[in-house]
Amino acid sequence: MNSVSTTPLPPATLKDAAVEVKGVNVVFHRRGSEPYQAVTNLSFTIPQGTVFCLLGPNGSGKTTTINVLNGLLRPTGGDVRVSGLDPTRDRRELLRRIALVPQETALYNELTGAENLEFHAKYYGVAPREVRDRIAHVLELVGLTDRATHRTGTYSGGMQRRLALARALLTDPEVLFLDEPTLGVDVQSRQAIWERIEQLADEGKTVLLTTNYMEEADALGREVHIIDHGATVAHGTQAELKAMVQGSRVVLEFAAPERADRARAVLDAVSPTTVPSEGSLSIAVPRGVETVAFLRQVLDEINAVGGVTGFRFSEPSLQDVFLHFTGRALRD
Amino acid sequence: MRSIWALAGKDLTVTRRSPTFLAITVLVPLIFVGLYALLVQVSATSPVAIAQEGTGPHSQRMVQVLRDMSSVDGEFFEIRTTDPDEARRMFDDGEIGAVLTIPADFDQRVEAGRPVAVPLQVFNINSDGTKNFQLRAEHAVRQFAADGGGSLATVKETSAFSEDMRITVYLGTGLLMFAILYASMVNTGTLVAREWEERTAKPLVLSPVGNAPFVLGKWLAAAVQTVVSMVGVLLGLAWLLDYPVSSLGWNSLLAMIVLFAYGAGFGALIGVALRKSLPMIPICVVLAVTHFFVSGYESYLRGFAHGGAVEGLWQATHWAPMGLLTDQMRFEVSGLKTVSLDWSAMGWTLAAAATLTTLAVVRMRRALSFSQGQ
Repeated sequence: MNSVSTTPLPPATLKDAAVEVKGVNVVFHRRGSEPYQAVTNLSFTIPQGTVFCLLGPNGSGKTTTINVLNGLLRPTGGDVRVSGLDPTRDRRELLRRIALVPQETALYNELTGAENLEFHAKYYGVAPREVRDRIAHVLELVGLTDRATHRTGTYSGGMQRRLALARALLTDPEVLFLDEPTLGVDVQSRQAIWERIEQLADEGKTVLLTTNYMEEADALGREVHIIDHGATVAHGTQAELKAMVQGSRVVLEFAAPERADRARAVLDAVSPTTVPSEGSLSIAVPRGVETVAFLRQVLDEINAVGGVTGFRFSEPSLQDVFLHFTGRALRD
Repeated sequence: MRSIWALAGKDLTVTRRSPTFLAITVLVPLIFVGLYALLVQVSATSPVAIAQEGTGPHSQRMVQVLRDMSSVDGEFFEIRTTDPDEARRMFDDGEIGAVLTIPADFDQRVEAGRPVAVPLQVFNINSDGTKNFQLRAEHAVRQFAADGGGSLATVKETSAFSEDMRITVYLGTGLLMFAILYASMVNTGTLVAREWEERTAKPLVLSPVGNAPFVLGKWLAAAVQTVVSMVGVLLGLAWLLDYPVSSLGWNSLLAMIVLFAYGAGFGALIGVALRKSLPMIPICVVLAVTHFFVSGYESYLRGFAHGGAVEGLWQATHWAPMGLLTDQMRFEVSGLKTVSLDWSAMGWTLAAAATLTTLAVVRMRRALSFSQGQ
């Protein structure tokens, strides 16, 4: 792994901040093994009414961070405020203002969609006279009114995710934590969930979502915070992050995936490559090099491999940002 | 309060639509009841035959004595035949365990006041069964002598209780205690464990209502399920063991509620520690069977308590409050009014239940704070 670049931290306090995280550390102590540092000096601020993406690979500390924010986990060090409240000290009050969609949907497969929502509303203390209207409203919001009387065990993964989102909205929270909300979801459902999330932000709700999908962060994150091994890699708006990776990328299309694989083996020695889609290859044009000379070298290298059917320049993506700061692709 | 009802209602709906574990809480105790029902019958009555070679009035009276001998648990002998040839054939074929022969000169010898032997032929594959045949045959001879004005000494017995307790009542109440503990452990444990197993625990713990509705809601649902389980078990006890279910009164009900609380506390702790339903079944069987032998069927353990660890264990049963609660039910079912409510035993059992439940809640908080991504 390359050395991690440190970027300036966000402003310490925003007047309209919904979430403030300052210098948080989380260390797990388990009997018989070395202490494990899950989160290291994490800091970020989320303004109200925005969608904030916590982007990182599996095991990077995203869920641990959410557990700190909702008070399930007391940080080893640092300071946390959510809606102006300390999640540990003011937990009960905080839980009235936030909602969580956990990584797993946490639905009861033996109950129908409506029964799941009804149970949740009653358990969370929604006023009895409002329960029915709220359920109808959130079901409509996520487009599941027609399937409300079906058992959730019969739902597709995407429908279950949408129902979990509906459940979180039952209590009309100020801040929503969505832990990998589109994990394992088909493209159509993913698009529907993204639209709902954007709509929520437009209505003034603050959304923190964790993801390891670059395209999700690209589509939703007005601000993106990239973490790896529990530590900040980079953060900022998408434009700011992409601007950090100066230079372009060259995307090569191949006639067959095997050709792309062979070309990757050759080109990785020239500059790090990624695979944007099957049968294609993206290679970074390093900063400070003479572009024409670099392209000539690339073309010479792949000449032996052959099978190139297309060639274009592309602007940096978040994938490139991650690659730039960590020296590896997000899913490596 | 609405949260408690909501959780209990949800759990009961889930159980109604997926009743496997509830069925297990009825089936396992019923299998025990069924097995013991068979063993009790074998133990209470012995199938024998009488080879009645003598035909006079004394021979007839001897047969009648053998027929009439009984205890509260049933007749001592189930006499299959008195025909000598049939009796020997049945013995040779293994259909009966013993043949008592009343010899042809039985009447003449009794009339003459001369000694007479009553041969007992035993299939002595089992010392316990052999002992039963011997004792009962000797008892019959003494009884015959006493009825006829003989000079044999008779035993004068003093008892701890005013009436004998039927083995089916003694054993059945122990099995009832086993069933309550098992059902409450499995019902509570699986209701708790399934929230982790199906990864639904997090939203429950993140509710602003706190932990109390979670614990109480689970208890309420488990209580309803345990009542359903117990209805099945009591029907089985009545049918298979002729257990006098209608004699269960308030003392028994109180004891059952306290035993439920204890079992539920145990179940919650195991459920939250394992966070898996299936391994709970054998663990709860082992725990409930252990309680059954230590607290529900103490006389069985007493039979082996001749020094060593078993004697220590048997002595410990006197301190186990669950045993005293089982006796509380036993005495009520037997109609023995001499023993009333045992408040001390109920208090200690409730204290154990509270301790187990507290440990379960502490464990639950820890389980959720480090949840490996859940």
